[in-house]
Amino acid sequence: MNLARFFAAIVRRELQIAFKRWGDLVSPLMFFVMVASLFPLALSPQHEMLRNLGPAVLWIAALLATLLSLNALFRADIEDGSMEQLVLSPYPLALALFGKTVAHWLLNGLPLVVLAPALAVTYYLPGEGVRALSLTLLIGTPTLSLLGAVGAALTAGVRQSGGLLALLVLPLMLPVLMFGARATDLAASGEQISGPVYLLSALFLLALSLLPLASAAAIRISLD
Amino acid sequence: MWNWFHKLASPPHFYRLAGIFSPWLLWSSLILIAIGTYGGLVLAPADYQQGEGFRIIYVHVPSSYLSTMIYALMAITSGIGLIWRIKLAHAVAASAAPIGASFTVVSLLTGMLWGKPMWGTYWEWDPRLTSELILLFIYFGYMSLRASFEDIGKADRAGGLLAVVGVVNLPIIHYSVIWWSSLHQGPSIKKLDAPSISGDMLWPLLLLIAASTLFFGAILLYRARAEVLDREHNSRWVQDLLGERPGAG
Amino acid sequence: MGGYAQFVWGAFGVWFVCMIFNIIAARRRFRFSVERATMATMRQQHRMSRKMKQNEARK
Repeated sequence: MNLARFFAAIVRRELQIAFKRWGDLVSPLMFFVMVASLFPLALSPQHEMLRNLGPAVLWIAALLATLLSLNALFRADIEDGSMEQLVLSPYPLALALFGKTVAHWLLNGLPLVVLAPALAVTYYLPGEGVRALSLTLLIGTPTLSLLGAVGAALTAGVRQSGGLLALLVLPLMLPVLMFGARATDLAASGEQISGPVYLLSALFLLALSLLPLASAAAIRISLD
Repeated sequence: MWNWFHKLASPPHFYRLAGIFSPWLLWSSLILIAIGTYGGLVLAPADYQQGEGFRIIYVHVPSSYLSTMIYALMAITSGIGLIWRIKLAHAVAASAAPIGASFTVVSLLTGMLWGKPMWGTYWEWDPRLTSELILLFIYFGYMSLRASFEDIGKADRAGGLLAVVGVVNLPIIHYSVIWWSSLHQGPSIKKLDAPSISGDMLWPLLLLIAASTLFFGAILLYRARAEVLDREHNSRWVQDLLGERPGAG
Repeated sequence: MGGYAQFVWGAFGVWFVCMIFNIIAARRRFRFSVERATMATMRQQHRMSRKMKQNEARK
């Protein structure tokens, strides 16, 4: 079995397991929708204000939804011992964890990207802003998943790790949030956003090249 | 050179040397800090723009510098500890974190106290204060990750990895904060900088930066001794050091 | 202090409180570790002396 097939097998297995448990899949999404709809209720449904707040609120909601889904990322694999198998297998652990992260993004990140435009409309974002939101989320959420995988791997051996995970990962996620939300904001007011989009892409590539290795190192620490 | 390094990195040797150096560093740093404070509060002339208020620079800049320098040191020693599996390096990293966090708090508070007269508000989302706040979060994350492990070796390696990941992220965070704040240029916010600093303003600042580094060194060695004891309390030299002489071996 | 007294003294106060806090915290930390290591040492010695007594009784 070569590496590409190993990778595909990991992703496929993760997807199959996830589709058996619908509840776990849907709850981060519902959380995303609910947080986004809390703000108009807590503030007031003025179009002007919602349009100004929209990019930030939607990005923060996406960030929190990602965070919510991260807790369970490696937990089940560690508890049933399959993670140990992966560590001992001849295939690179980083690739296996990367496969799991990709599956996590397909299941949690991609639905956010798809749902976001619908929510953006409820915040009266103009067409430019909606497109920018989708684009930045498309580049940004994989970065969030990769960062979160490192945090999940570091806290995999810790009980009650929810708050700890947030404390570890949120500061690292801040640049993505800043670029993503500000780019959406700029686009909504009709400005060029190629700068922050390039920076987001650079962050994504950096995360893609380094973080799977960091996750693998973290899993090794957590398991022994 | 290597020989010397290995000898230093051996825990009993380090424990002994740190015990000798720590008080010396502490007292010399306290004396220098007293001189620097006198220079900053009394001898230095008032700034022509910021008046007496600029004197906050003498505590704000050293603490900001320490907060960053300590994180860098923590990341470097963590890296050394992870790569060469040196317990002592992890011990140093673990002892640096609370000191760094405390100076980050000082940097934030003094920045706010400086901001009130300069900006008219205690808090302004200016890039320097914002990065400092995020740095504080990262320190807290590091310390709570360490605290969540029972096993000290695991805490060392997990914390070390986080410190290394964090040090790659810090410049990214710093520059993205600068980019982010450059977008909303408010009504000409002055940065927290002393404009065109003159000689008798400068020497207390440099002295205080140097002295606070010495102070950090003293506290670091003191704490690292405790960390070394924690890691070694089953080894022979600690028992020889602390126990009454056992009757027959 | 030209109207800035409270801010300047406040800032220096924070700085000195931090230094004193660092010294005290480090001392407490060190004492704690010494205590723990002493306990570990005493347990170890207790175990060893008991073993020695057992050996002697066997003789």
